[in-house]
Amino acid sequence: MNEMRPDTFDENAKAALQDEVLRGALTKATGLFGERRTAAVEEVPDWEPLRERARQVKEEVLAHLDEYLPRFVMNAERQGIVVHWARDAKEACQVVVDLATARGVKTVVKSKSMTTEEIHLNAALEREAVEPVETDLGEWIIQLAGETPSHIIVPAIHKTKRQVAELFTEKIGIPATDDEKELTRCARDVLRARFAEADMGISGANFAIAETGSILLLENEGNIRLTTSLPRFHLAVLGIEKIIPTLADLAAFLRLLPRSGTGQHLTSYQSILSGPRRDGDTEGPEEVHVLLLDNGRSRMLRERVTRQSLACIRCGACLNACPVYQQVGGHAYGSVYPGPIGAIITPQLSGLHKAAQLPYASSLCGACRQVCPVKIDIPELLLHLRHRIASGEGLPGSDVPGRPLLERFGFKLWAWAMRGPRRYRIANRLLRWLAPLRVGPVRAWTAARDLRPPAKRTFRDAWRDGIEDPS
Amino acid sequence: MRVALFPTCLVDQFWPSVGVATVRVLRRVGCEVMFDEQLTCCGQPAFNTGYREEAARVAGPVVDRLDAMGVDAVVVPSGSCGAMFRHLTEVFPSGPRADRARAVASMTHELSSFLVDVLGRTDVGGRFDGRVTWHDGCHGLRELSIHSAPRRLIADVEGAELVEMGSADSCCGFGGTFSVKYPEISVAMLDAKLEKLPNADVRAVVSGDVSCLMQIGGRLSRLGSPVKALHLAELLAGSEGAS
Amino acid sequence: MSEDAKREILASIAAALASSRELEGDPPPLDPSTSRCAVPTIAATERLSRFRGMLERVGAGCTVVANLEDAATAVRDTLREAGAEKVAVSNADVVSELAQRLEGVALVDDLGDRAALLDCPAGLTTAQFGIAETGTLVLVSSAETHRLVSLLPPLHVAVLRESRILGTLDDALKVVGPDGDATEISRAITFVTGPSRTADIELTLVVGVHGPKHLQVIVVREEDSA
Repeated sequence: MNEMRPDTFDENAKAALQDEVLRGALTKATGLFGERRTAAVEEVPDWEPLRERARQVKEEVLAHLDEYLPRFVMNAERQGIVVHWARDAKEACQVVVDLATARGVKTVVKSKSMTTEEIHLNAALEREAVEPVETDLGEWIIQLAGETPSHIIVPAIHKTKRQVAELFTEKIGIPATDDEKELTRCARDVLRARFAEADMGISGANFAIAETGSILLLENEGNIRLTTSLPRFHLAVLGIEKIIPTLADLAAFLRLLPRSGTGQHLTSYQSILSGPRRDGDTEGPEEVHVLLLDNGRSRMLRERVTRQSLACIRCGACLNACPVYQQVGGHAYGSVYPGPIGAIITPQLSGLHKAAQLPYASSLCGACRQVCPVKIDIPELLLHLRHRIASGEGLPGSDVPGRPLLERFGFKLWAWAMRGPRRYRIANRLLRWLAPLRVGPVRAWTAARDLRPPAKRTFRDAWRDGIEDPS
Repeated sequence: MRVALFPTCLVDQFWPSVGVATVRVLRRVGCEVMFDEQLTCCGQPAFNTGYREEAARVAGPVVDRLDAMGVDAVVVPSGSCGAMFRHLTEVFPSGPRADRARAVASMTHELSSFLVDVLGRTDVGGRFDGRVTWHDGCHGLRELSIHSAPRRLIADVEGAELVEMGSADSCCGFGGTFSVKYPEISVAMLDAKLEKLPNADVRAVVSGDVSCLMQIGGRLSRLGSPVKALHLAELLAGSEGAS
Repeated sequence: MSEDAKREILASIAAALASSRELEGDPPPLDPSTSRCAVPTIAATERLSRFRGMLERVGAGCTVVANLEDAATAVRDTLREAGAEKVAVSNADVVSELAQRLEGVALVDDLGDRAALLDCPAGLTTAQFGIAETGTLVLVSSAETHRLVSLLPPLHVAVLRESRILGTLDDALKVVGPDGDATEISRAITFVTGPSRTADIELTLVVGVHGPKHLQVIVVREEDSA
């Protein structure tokens, strides 16, 4: 697979549209998740107030992160958790590599973490001869295949059972099978051995609780429980935005997140972890560390509109609901964070100039906003980013990408033409003259659609002549 | 009631029969319809592409004119442009135009919502022979919460039968400049939607937005489908439109 | 390096928020009226049936027994059905008492012996609480050593007293929290709702991927048992 980057979205998407296997998988997955979500949400009579509550809690934390983050750190340290900080991806990787090598770690078991994907941690570990082993089944499949996840919740959504079976035969030498139970059993056996030998477990965190200094992780497979309890050293890597105020606040999020993500009323496991084992304990890691990552997040706090992107709880509902994602899938976005949420987060984290296409990769249909459990107004953010690009204002810490000349000139001309009846009439003539030439946007339109010809007599012509009632 | 018709630039330039039909329907329910040649475009194409300054330059005179017309309501035969009037407060965040934009936004209604929610009318005397299906325009549906109004209006059109296609609320893929920036994705989205278009003999896909209808109709026409794209106003006026 | 990073990140947060407060003002404080929204109340009399119904929904077994004697029988039956001749046991008193009544079953009770635990077909623990709303077991590490016993073997048998079944998630978070039963939050609080599951291959549900394939909950009704 060619490397896909956000700035090649158009080419990535075109390639994805040609991939029938991928599109079949996407239709099935997004359709199924959409139906399950709808059914799960209907069970909750107070869904809308619940979303509003969750939105408010997130905004409260983000707007006062200068208070909540230190509170989390203070309480975590009180529990014996060692807290590290990283300004960017490179620094974060260095912290992790240093911690691992100082302890002579050879093998790291990892549970699914978007944040470690964001900082490309696996590559950094491998460079230092530390072997990272992904343990979420989907992530492990992706790792064996040398690919990247295409969905937040189901990383290997783009792979068929047959492809997984072939991969397993090639990489771990199992006999050919098309039984997903057998494939899963093989994965369990292979990974159990890796868990048993690992010296370090690396996880993400879904929430970090300021009141208690705890982190909370949700999962279905049990690999997070293994990652955080078997190795003697557990490190959680999380963005600074993951804080919620109190343990009691978790209830709303626990009702929202699984229903939005997989349509479950609750995932199989939630682990609330608050530090290493104490004297007399016979289990639990001896060391628990937390790495807090900024990597562009703090500057997003500057405005309410951009701040709300940090409220995301990574449920994936907006991906499933997005008609663009449904067609092109996650890889096309060329980013760790795909779909509508990726289209707003990636340009803010990596810089507008590196992902300038993504804010435009949406028809602004608003389906994402409708399903978001924390009410992030993704269309508002898409419009905001488009404005910051088109106006040349940019974002803090980001270069401004240029827009195509034709577009800039086009809108200048359009704005001139739409001001006043006389110019408007000239524009109409121009349009009627230009449309049949099939150039520029007209050509793009007419490749697969007929274009309704501009009217010879406009509405205002009809009005001027007088509109009679037919009968 | 004195209403100003904001026909939208697309209706005016591409589908004037929708404007004419809207005038007839509004008159039929007892409205005095006003129009002014200054009413060109709400600024949405520029706003949605990020060009807020250009959007302001175009929408400014429209806001001023609508405010000065002294009407009781502004009616727009488009959910998308209707929703744009709400965004005008972002285009004009401060200054004298901010107040005018707010005032105009609060009296602006999409056609179906105006008929049903403001006037309380569902039977406006339309006639149509055959089955039709409805496409929810995204902005009307998700920004203006328009869902039942057009369905109730269609139900009361003599001879018309509404058959839901099962994908009424999925996006048609138009999305303004999106449709020409990413034409392949745009058409793929539309085809996914149209897959569910019932094979039953639906004569037309009806919608409240000419933008969606140009997308849907353009594709149906290219595929050689006999199914027509029809604006709600045309259905309600009883004239099937000159497409 | 980390000290520099900490200082710089906190400064960056402070600067961004100062700018936001100056231009946009402080956001409205949390509306206390929304804090209790969507919290169902489940009457004590309905908890067991709701708990049981939710367990069945997630594919877990649930046996309700009158006393510890019957619980031992239920555990034995469960182990026999699974063909488990060995069971790992946690250090809870109730578990020890039950273990004494499991004649013919080998006990693995060295909780520090990883290899033995990894090799064991079944694990027996108690659960500190149940949650009726969701059919969830709450395992609190300060009360019992059961993180691995409840996780490593393919069968997890959990014994729970009926009086410990709480109504909702909110109730559970309250009792395990700093203002609840304990003065300090436990190192590991685990909510368990059904068996380990995945749908990562073509979205087909498979149970028992990394954790237990079977979860059997035995609810003991008798109050003064144990």
